Amino acid sequence: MPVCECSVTLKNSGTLGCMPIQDVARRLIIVPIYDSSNALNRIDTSSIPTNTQILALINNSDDKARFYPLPLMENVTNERADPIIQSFPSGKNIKVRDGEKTFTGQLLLLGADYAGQIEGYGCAEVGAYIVDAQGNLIGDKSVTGYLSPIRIDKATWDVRTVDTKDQEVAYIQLGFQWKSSVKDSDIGMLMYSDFASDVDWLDYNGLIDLYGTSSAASTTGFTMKVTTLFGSVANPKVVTNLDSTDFEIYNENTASTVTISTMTEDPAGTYAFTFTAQTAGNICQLRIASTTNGYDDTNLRSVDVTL
Amino acid sequence: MVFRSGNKKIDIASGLFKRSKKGDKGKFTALLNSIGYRGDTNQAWKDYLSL
Repeated sequence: MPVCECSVTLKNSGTLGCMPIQDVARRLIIVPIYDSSNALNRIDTSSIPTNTQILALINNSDDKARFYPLPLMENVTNERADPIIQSFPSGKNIKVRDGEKTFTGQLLLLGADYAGQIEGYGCAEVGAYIVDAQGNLIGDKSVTGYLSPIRIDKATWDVRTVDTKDQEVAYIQLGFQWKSSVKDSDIGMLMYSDFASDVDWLDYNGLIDLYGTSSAASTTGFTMKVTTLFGSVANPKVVTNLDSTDFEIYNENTASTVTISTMTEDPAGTYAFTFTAQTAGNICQLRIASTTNGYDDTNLRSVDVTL
Repeated sequence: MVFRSGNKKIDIASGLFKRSKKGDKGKFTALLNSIGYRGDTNQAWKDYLSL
């Protein structure tokens, strides 16, 4: 059972006429517990993040400090199991400990490709903020001055695909338990009204991993087909309609950025770049500009283009 | 500056071509033609130079 303080005094039991209470969960924002410098990732409630700051968190180059919004969910349950009870011959039942709290939800119209993206979350120390249907952000308020991600018991992280049926759409069934150290009374929320009017936690999308296949490399240009992990194994979905300002070309030999002269997109998702002549044999990378949000170009950068 | 033709698109850096440089207008027009640009290339050239 919970450890009681010997000097405990009862807390007062009044209620306000209108008590804010969280709505049904619609989305999770997965957040690593620690960033790469071992500092806790959490929101300082004295400095509520703006839309720009939230976008910076989602696009953080430090993947251990990044916020990972999952798609909207349906059929969410977030319930604590019955407590563990020891019964005695007299009929007395003593509570041994709280039951575990389990979260389940369905990510609709998603399949194995996406499951592969999130199944690895169960290998890391992560927590989650819950976004409810009103756009409130729910987290762990147990440390004064902060709203922290609610810690997830990583060993319980379960991602499974449910295929399309005759009368049902495909979805991913996500389930996990919160860490047993998280008490119900630790949960608190930042209300949607605490954020600026342009913040809507229900609207944010996570990053998309980019991959590339290069061709037609010369000293004055190259072509790159920019793809994602999703879709056909042979012809994955491409990323279309990017502008030249969304890209950077980096010459690894001169350690400098190469100015793009022209960029032609033809066909959709295949980008041909030209630039002033570089030295033959130099190796270039195609990168996503730091000012462009929504993409993780780690894999795209790993494509060495030999001019 | 971005020019489009159907699903094709070309983005030409400002300053790459100059009004005063001989042959630049032809190179510019050739780039537009490479995507099958169907608009007025003279107007596109003026728009490009006005950037």
